[in-house]
Amino acid sequence: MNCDNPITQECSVTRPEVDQAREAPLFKPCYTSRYDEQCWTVEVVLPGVRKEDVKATVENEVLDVQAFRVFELPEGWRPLGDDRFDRRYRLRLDVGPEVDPVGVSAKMEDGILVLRLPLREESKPRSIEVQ
Amino acid sequence: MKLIRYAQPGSRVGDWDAFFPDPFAAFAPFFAAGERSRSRGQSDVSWFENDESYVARVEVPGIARDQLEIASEEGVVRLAVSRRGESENGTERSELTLRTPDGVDFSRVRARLENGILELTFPKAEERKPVTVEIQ
Repeated sequence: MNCDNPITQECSVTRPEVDQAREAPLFKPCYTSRYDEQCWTVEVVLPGVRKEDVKATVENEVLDVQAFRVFELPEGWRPLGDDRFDRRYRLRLDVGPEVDPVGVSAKMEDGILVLRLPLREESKPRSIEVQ
Repeated sequence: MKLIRYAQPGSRVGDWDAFFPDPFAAFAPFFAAGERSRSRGQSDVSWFENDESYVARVEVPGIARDQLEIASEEGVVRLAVSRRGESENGTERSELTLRTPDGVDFSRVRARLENGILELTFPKAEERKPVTVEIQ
């Protein structure tokens, strides 16, 4: 069975990197989370992860980030020590009903995934006019 | 913007609830996160070797080329990250020193930065390279 996602084992089309990742250890990544009046911003630390190897969903008020990184050893290279570079990452965060899943955006830069989760209009703070 | 929380790096699955709120973590020197990783038995540096050189792949997430300085000398390589701090005055600077293997030509170290990984290549000094032995 060919599986596209090395974490959930969902199956579509196999990529060789996915096969290599399937046995890699699974980690919860480091992240920061902050909000202001407009949106939640979540930054997930995923060093060495390419943007095509990240899957992020918001469903049932849960943000689910799955990612992996692999390093295909070039010819003649030998790993030293016990530390393995290949990793899978998974982070699940409750986001609450005030988040509008439709407007979520994600950007991957220098190994940091930045997610912007906008708040629903009706959840945003509203200033009250005093008459 | 209000900072909510910062989770410990690299905890294995099974530690879902192991959050350690650290109000200073987001402002802490970059490599402090690496220190915490190492103390938990994981490393942010992976080493490799081939006939020509040693290679280190170092995690440097969120760092752009112009924020990173690399100095190579006998026995060590020093990485320095300069970032504009959250406070109004000046830059934050954090440093990491990596010990390099013996027999490396420190003047010919090469560096490549991609996806938050810094790949350092340390060429082996000529006398350290493997030599084919002819049978007479």
